[in-house]
Amino acid sequence: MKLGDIAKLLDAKVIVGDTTALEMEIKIACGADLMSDVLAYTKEKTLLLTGLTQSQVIRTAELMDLNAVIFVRGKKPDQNAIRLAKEKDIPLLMTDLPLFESCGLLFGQGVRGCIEWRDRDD
Amino acid sequence: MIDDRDIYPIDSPLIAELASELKAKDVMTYNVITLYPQQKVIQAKEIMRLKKISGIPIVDNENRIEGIISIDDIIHYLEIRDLEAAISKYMTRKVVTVLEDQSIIEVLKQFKRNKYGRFPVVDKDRVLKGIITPGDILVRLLQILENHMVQQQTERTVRKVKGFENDVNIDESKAFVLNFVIEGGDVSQAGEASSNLKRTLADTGRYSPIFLRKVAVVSYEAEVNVVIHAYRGTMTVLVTPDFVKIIIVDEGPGICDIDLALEPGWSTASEHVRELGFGAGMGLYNMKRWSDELMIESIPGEGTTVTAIININ
Repeated sequence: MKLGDIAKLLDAKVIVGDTTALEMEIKIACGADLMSDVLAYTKEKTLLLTGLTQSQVIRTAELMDLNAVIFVRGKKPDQNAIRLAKEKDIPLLMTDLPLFESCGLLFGQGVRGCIEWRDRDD
Repeated sequence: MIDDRDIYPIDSPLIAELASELKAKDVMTYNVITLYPQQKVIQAKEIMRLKKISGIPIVDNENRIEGIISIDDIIHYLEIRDLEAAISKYMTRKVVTVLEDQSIIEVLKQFKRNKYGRFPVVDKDRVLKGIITPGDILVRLLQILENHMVQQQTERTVRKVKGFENDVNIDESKAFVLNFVIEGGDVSQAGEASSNLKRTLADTGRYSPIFLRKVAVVSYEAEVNVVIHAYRGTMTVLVTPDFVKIIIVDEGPGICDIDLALEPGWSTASEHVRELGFGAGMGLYNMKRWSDELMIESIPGEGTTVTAIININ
């Protein structure tokens, strides 16, 4: 699913990201408010949906090679986060939908989770 | 002077053990102010006022105990207004003394039995050696307890969480070192060092994305730990053809119980840190998960050193 289509589905506003970014293909997503969980479980090329809005989210996305970040529940990122996202070229979107509903809509369209939990051995 | 007799019963096994090993001479004050029986009460009164003491042993020329003069005796003397009186007239002659080799626990029992605020400490010939008050005992016991705790605190704990079973030989000609400084306190800045490290490694084009992600997670979690818990730290990264070794040294409170800290979900982080999406007790657990070898060294009160090795293949 293209990031641009996801933006339409979630009625999300694009804060950082150009038309090329919206062409990005998203296959995997992760919903989390805990950055340590993102660090523990996500794979690269993942879309992160989160209610946290500060720059640590962008830092995490950068370090984990995440595709893009969508802020849920109508939360607007702070200026530091936006600046860092521009610098690191990480698309940012925001939607008024809650985390669960956002994830549900994406899952319904075939986007899958990031944890290979069936194979986990720890 | 401590007059509350309720402090003497001893419940703590540690204190009881200390008190039975300690002797009166280990606790007593050595430089005792003494007077002779023929000196005047008014002198005793002035010395007590100036030195803020509540009793003075009275000795003969051989420094043997003759009596003791206390505040109670002075009050009696003041009531009578017997200004020129010699000490011998007002002093208490039946003096309860303790021997210098008597254990503190026996001295404490003596304090409980007699309602005196001090005991002269004597040798077997009744020669005065010192003076002891309940306050002296309390101060000494507290000192011992404090030393005991400081000794416990400064013990270095080394925990090989994963690997570190064999020493690794490093061909220094093929290795290079990267150094980063981590400032404690500002969580919003956390990640700079890890970001730089990852970029530096990525720019060489030699490493797989999965390897870079492992390095990123381990260094980032370690960096966040320094920022959250310590005052400052450094991250030194040794890059060899086979592995990278990340050493994070911080000046901070250290970790009291490393095993507990490794439990997923165990955290001492503040609410503020939790609002930033960290401090959920996943840091060390994540580092263990993504590194091939992990070792934690800590000295409570001084700091923590975390060493992680991530193999390139």
